[in-house]
Amino acid sequence: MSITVKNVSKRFGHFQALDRVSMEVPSGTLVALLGPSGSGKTTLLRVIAGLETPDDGTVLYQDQEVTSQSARDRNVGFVFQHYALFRHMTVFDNIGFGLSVRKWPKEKIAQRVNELLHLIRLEGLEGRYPNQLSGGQRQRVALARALAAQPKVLLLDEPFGALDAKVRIELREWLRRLHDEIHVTSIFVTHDQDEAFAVADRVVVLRDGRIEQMGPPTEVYEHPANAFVMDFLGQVNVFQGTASESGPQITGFSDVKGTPVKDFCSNTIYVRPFDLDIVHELNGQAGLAGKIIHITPAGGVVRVHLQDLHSTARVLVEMNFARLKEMGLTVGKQVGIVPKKARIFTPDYMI
Amino acid sequence: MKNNTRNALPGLSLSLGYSMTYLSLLVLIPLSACFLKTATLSWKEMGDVVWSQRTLSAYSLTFSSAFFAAVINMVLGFWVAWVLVRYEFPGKRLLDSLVDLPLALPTAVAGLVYSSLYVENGWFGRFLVPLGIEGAYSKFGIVWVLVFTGFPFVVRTVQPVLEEIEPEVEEAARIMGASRWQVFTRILFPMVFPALLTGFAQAFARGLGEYGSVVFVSSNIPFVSEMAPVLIVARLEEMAYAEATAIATVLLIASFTMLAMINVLEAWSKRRG
Repeated sequence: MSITVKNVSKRFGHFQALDRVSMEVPSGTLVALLGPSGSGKTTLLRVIAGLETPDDGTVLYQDQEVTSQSARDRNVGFVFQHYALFRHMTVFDNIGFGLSVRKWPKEKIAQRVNELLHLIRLEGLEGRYPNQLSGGQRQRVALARALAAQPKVLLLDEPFGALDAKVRIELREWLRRLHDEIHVTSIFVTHDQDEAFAVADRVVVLRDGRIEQMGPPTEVYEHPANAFVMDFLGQVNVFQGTASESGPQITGFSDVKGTPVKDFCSNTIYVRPFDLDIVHELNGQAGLAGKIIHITPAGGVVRVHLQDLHSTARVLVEMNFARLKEMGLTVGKQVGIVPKKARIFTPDYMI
Repeated sequence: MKNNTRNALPGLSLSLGYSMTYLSLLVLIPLSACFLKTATLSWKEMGDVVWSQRTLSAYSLTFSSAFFAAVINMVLGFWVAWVLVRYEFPGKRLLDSLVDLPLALPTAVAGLVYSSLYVENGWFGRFLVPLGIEGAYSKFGIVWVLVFTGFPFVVRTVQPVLEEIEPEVEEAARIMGASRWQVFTRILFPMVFPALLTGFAQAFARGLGEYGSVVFVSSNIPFVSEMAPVLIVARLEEMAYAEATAIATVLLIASFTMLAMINVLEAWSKRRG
């Protein structure tokens, strides 16, 4: 079932949580609402769920308007960040709760709960209480509970936020596989861009109650609509410079191959850490002279923190481990930093 | 491996010793004195005192009125705690501090005020007595004044537990299709129940030992409206110290057993949460 949000606004006192937000979630997709805290992503999710009534605008499930319908009547599954399990009930009763309040017969409840226990791989733990489970197990129970009544829509509010890094990655991959199996239209909120990109079919980036950009993860990553999105999607180096129709000119870098921009009027240039490269010597090449001050491994890549000898600004370069070894880079070494690609944004999105 | 008995929290022996000393001085020694004094009676003498009609009727009055008062308090206290946690209204903080008043007020004052309100020409009594409702010098009066003295306990045990329940838990239940009533009966009430039992036990225990208010509100007629604590004082005034302590000892053992039973029940209901 598709979900349409039209011009939704929500205000809490003086705080504008949502400001005329419109978006569409095609049926059967998994969409991530991504943004920093206070960007309105959770409020948007709660409006879609019916836990919050918008001040303005409409919410449609398929073609049916549900704006004023209560959460109870919308038949959605909702997963809360801190699980919100019923601590006085067993895993079995937690999962079956929605079915028993809907007056399902006992055998059918048992059958459905067992199906779900199999799905979340917690067979044999149905008699446990939530406080006897690990964080990951609790969140899986919360998910099974949300799926119990076969909802048309599954909504997840920072579902993995309270888990440790390893479990988080396991669980998000599991969620993706689960979604591929059951194809229920799903929206999840996160502030972690890795999580959004790893799981979602589409990413919606929010800031200050407004949508900054939406699209498939690769598109959003490759073509960020503005400086905010660029910055939010990962660490970025900020340089001063100028640009012309032919491309950006970074102070210090004499010739940078970047996307040509029209109507240029900015002097801030953004370069992703892996769009920079390190060379032993500049030898007249366009680049900055820098000194390595710190090297940190991060998954498959190595982050090299450098200091620009000229302006003392910090520069971050990402490269693969093999290349770092090959070049014999160590802390304290003086090297050249050369750009591969840079981006420029207009000043109203200056960071 | 030296010092492997060291604990992250130092001072166990000191603080435990300190607590045990105080517990002994304040609770154990006076209570054992009570038992020792009782032991000066022979079994037969003790049986005569404890098993006499007058004592038995005092016990049954004490236990039944403390029990009913605690039940009423369970309902009222839950209600008040609910209102205090759930709603915002002017005067909420005043109401919140009023809850503790019965603990601060000398209970004798409560007894006096209650009896003067409910006597035939009292403010309430002038309307109630013609209807056949005797507020003062009756069982009703005793229960009522015990409700007053035990009131803070249930409120103060239930309140923090209610506050602790995250709104998400209710939202989760609602979104899964539960009606408001189902949210209350299946989610909120079971979560609060252990605390409610604790409050009940405390109010009940308070009611068993209450003297100051009861002595004023009850007519203290032997066999009819004489509470066990009042009987104990009556025996003391007759210089029958051993008899007084014998009654007290039975009261003590009975209360202890009941509290222990409530604790077991509470642990059982908590284990599930």
